[in-house]
Amino acid sequence: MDLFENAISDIKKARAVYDRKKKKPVIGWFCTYTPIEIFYAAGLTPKRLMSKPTTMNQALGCMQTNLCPYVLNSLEVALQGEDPIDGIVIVNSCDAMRRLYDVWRYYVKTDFVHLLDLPRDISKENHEYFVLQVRNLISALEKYFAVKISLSSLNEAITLCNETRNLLKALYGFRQGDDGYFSGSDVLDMVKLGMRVPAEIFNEGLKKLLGDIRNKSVGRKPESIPKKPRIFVIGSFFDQTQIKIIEECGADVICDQLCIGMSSLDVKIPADTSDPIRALAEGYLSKIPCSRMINPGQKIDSICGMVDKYRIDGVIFLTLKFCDNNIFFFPLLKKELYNRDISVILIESDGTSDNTGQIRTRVETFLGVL
Amino acid sequence: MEGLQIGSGEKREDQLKNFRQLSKAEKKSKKSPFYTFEATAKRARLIGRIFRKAYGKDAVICWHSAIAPTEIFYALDVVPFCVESVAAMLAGANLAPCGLRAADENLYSPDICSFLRFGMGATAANIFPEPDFFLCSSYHCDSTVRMFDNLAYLYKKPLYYIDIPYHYSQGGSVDYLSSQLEKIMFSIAKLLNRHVDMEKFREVLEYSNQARNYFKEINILRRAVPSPISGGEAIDYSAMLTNTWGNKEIVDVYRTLRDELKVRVDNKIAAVPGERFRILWRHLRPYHSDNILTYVEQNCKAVVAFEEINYIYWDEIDIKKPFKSLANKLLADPAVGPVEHWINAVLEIVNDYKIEGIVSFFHWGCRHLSSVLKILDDKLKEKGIPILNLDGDCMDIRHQSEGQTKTRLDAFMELLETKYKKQEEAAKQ
Repeated sequence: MDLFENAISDIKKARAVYDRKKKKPVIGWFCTYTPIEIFYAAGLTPKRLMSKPTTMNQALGCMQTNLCPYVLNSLEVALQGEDPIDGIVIVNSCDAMRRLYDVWRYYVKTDFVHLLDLPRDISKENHEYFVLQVRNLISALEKYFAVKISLSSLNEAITLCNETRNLLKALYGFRQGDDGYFSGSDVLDMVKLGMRVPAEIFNEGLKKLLGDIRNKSVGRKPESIPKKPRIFVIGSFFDQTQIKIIEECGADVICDQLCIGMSSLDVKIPADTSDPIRALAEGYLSKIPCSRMINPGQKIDSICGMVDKYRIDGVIFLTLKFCDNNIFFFPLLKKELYNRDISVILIESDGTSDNTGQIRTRVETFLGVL
Repeated sequence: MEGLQIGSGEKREDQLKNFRQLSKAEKKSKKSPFYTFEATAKRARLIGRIFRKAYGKDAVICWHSAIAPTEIFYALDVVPFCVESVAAMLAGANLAPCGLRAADENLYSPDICSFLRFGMGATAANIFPEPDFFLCSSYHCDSTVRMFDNLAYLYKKPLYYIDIPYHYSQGGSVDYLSSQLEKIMFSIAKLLNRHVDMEKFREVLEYSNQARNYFKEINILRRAVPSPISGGEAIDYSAMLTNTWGNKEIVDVYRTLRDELKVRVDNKIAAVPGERFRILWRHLRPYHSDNILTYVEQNCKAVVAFEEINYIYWDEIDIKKPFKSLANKLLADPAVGPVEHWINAVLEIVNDYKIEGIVSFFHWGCRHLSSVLKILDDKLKEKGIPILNLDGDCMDIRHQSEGQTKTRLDAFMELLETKYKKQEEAAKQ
């Protein structure tokens, strides 16, 4: 849609100007449990490392093939010297990421590589432990980049990132009624862009887009929209290609629990507290649980709640190959959804375009029986 | 059946019946070709007794992960049921296909570690004794946590989860872990309406220490050339993963093995006559078949002088500080933390056991241990130690190609032959 393309183009242009003027060190990150506010407070530019189409030449020489394709792809991109960064923070979110930290230090050799440990449950002790881990991350950044991360700068960064999350939630809001303005993949495009562009630039661009949407009543008129199955997508890290395929098959992707989507927005951090470090640690640890966290009941409840809230017709569970946390969660989720008469299908992908035909066939079949 | 069904009303007696029926149906239970020591027979009997006890009507059972402070269970009179170890044991009795088939039927992907798939499958097939609660730790892998998390949800029984901190030497890590262990022990006691008898706990920790010390002696005796015990026999002791730490009877098992080994070492009796090379076996072995290890030791005459899984990496438990000591024990596991922790352990073993070649058994489905093979390979190459990474599966024969494995082993042995022959010739000159 033109409006989205224009907005994305404007944000990218503004980013290029920003990069030329500010020349801030860029810090890479992977997992949405990363408190990126700290990077802003340190005067760094955070950038989420995304997978991109590339031929696997070097990564498979460093790690085995039966491993998370997102990790392998990101490693390949780094080994090829693309998407340069000045430092990287890897969260101990899963086996593949934990070992990526080792491999990154040995073979990519970025000067600053930090592993942020992350507990799997949200007890009081684990909150305290994660507060300590966040403090350690701050100390490591201060030492390496020779900066001072003040409490006031942290509070400012929290306000900035809260604004990003709220704006993106507002954008999602346009998707989740019956109006059917723009597509789900358009929204994911925006969320993804927001993870790679400095928040001050992104927020301005997004505010303008939201204003345009409201003022110009753009998009398809509600009465002209044929009724499409309302789909909820759950799963691992995915780019919007797979979402586009689902939409091309005739579905409306209304909501998601993806870490490049709504799961990244469900972080509630109070601004202007006297202890922003604790606020960050607790806020991130309490977000909608990723499938790596313990207590699947909590995740299942949140999924079923969303199914009801958004009047979902079917659930598509998209998982990357070898993502143990997700492939282990699926049978349990399927059982619970089956008991609630909710249709669900599992789609595995290695994240490349090679199996898009297969995905399309499975989605078409699924939509056909909904 | 749509999804795994749990709690169908059958309890342990029925589950034991199911298990026996299955064992009878398979009828292929075999004796290991490796077992030669009285200690090994004693150990097998003990493991069998613990396994059977778990089916007792009045027993309190905890299903737990391989990395667990089992001393807590013995102090509370809880029967430890280590799902991964039981899986390995049953694979040895040719019962793996049944559990794996049930896992397949219940949508557990073949990409998941087969030990854990077997756990889910055996549960679905209702051959495991119903647990009272679960305990698992964050190490070694994601899938372990997922399996126990799923099981606790399905059985609606408590899961005690131990979050082992990554930064094992960082300030606060020991306290974080020890406070979890203390809380868990008292929570279990409360759940069972029992009190924590600290005197009994200390006694159990003493057994754990005695067993550890005997095993340490065993490991020192194993440095002898020729090797007094075959790797095929020793690997099943799997000291790092066993659920017998804290058990009184295991002390006698290890003492017996120590004594038996001493006789062999004193008399220079070789476990593998004509020992050509000394191999370090990394990770586990295929439990569905003894053929690979037999081939290495009997055909290639390369003795597995040590197995990583038998490395005693922890200090004696300080009885006065039980939780801190148990925390230190868990944190000392070489697989915890950055890869250097592990590399150092491997290099120490290579040095202590005069290792001439390393075989890493790359278990399909294991991400955590296999992801850093390249780093380890590079480090070991720096030390001039040849290494062979073997693809396979400890439980699932469908992921194992025996012919290909033997071909690769042959090539590796030729490489060792050439390397050490050259060295011998150089030494003579």
